[in-house]
Amino acid sequence: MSRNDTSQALIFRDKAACQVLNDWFDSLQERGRYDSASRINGRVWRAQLRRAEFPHSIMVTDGYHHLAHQLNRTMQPKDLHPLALALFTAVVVHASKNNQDGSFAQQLGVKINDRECLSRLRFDRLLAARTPDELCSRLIRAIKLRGELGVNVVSLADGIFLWMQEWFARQENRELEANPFHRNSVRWASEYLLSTPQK
Amino acid sequence: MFSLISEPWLPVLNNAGQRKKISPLQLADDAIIELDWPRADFQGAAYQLLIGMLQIACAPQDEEEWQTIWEEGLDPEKLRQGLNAIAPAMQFGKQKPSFLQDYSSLEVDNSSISGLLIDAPGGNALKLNKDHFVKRSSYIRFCPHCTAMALYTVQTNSPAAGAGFRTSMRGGGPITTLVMPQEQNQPLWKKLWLNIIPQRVSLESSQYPLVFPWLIPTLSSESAANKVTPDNAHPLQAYWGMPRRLEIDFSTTESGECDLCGEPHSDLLTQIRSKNYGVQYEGWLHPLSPYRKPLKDVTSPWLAVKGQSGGLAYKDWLGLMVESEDRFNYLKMAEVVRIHGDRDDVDIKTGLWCFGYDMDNAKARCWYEHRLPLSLIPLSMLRLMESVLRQSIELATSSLPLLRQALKEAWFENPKEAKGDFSLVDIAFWQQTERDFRHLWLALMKHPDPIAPESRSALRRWISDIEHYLFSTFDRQAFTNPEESNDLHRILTARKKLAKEFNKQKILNLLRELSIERKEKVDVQK
Repeated sequence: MSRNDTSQALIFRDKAACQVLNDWFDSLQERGRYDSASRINGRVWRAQLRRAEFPHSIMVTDGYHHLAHQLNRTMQPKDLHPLALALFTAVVVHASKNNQDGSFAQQLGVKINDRECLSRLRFDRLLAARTPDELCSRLIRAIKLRGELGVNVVSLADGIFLWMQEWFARQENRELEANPFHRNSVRWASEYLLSTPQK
Repeated sequence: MFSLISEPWLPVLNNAGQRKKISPLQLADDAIIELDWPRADFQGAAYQLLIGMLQIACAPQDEEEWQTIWEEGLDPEKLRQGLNAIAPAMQFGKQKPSFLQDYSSLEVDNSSISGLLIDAPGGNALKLNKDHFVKRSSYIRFCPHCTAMALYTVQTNSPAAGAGFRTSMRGGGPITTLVMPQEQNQPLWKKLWLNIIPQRVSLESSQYPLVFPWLIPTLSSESAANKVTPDNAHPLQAYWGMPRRLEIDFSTTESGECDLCGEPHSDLLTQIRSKNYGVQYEGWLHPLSPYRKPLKDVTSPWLAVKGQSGGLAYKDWLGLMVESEDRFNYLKMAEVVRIHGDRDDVDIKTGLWCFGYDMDNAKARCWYEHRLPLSLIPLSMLRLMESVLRQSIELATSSLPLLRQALKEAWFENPKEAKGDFSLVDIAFWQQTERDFRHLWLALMKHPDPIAPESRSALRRWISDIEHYLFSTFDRQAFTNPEESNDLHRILTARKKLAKEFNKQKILNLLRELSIERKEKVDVQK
């Protein structure tokens, strides 16, 4: 009970779905890759996504559609909300690589040159995001700060999807998750804290 | 004027559930199964009064005689003879000596009879209008039967009430522990008999003034030298202590209904006279109460266990049943419990009934009553389990402050400056982990040998139960606002510290070692 492993994914538990995410992210780095019959150009997708405005312009890009199509085969429709996916694609394209060493929030707390990658103040602002738009811009900033170190793509997706579930619950005045360690803010804060021991 | 021996003044229930009033002379009747007083404190006091009466009227000479009577029943004739012998001390009325009242007339002003009730608002509460919960004037007229019982109740529990108002011989608001059958429908006399102590020498009538202090002028305590001890009185005075100088005004009466039992009566009593400096007791070990004294100071006297906020928790159980010690005190069970622990041929399952007031000087905070959900087990077995039980309790005792501290750190920016009453955390802890403790207790009862694999696995479960309680309580109490993320760092830091401190505990590691499966033994010998 004292050991709540918050780095374990809650939504992306299925290996096949994780594989889809990782493959898709890899394909963003390549110009020519064949997926069944058609040739895809990941660099073009990435450029489109980086320029597109969240959320609606994101949802009309090829990259978004390709990922949505692939995930639809492995995931339950209830877990795969278009807005959550749009947020994820809008954010993750700013990462320079998929780094699976540690969870996403933990990576934000890792010290580089004696300072947290994302400062405590910025991290608190990230947690305090009230709308998907706010979250989107704050996440992009955080990912850019990670720079060459990259981020854990699956862990990032898990956090974003969980955050969106909670956001919808709030919109509809539904009850939030009772177990604090199933709430995204607690999970991120716990991970962040884990990599930056206080005192 | 009536005699407490022959007057049918005790409300009882028979095995058909009917209520009636009997006199103590009818106690031998198997059909009578329970007392039925209108108040819990009267009920507890009435048991003690009747145990005191039986102890004097027909105590057995030894365990064998005790056993014979247990099996064959009380002989009504012997009971009658024994009770009639003490009848002169059991008169209740205007004429002196009168039961539990001062031998002399008290030259003080009358006051309301509600002063006999322990929870009634006192003089200061009335002056300052502090009678918020128990209002003044709720109880103003008592029937003589209820009055006699109220008198015994106040003399037995006697809390401190200002200068010279002496406490009972067990101090103010003692805890009483009685041995009770687990089955409630046993005859009343058997419930009483379980608490009777064999007594070699029977009482002579010349000794009555040493037992019943109202038969002679009060040994008042204006002077500190005038103390009553078991040496200058009779040990049986324990049941008949008279720390308060009281006199009921039998001349001012009203007709109407009794405010306590609701029954109509033509001469309801309304006034009493009360004076300080009653009998001061010292050095008594009351046979119906557990005692404790600090480990640090062996010379200090034994003190009767008192009611405390939250009532008795399972951390106290051991001290109620066996001679033991916790971190701070030596504990000694009530004598009746000790004697019963040696009886191995009683044909029914017994448990403990514990009750008493939690007093803050003259203020009654609460009346607590517990039926320990455990059968009393033979002393030899209890001794075998004792050290493991004590260590298990210690794990709970030492983990609780960690939880309290962690919650403070989670709740407040400056936990050190946090003011407030955190006793709720404690009370909830003891109550909510009791069920798990009972599992442990029952498992150890089945396998009292601490080396048995079953007792070790019960111990492992206890450790994880405590751990689970700490963290689930912390999570529920600390992460209270899912919308607010500002304090998450503080909460999570507190939680991390709780985990660290919990695992650091010496007692935890000791218990973990005790509970490890013993497979390695073979390897060690190689």
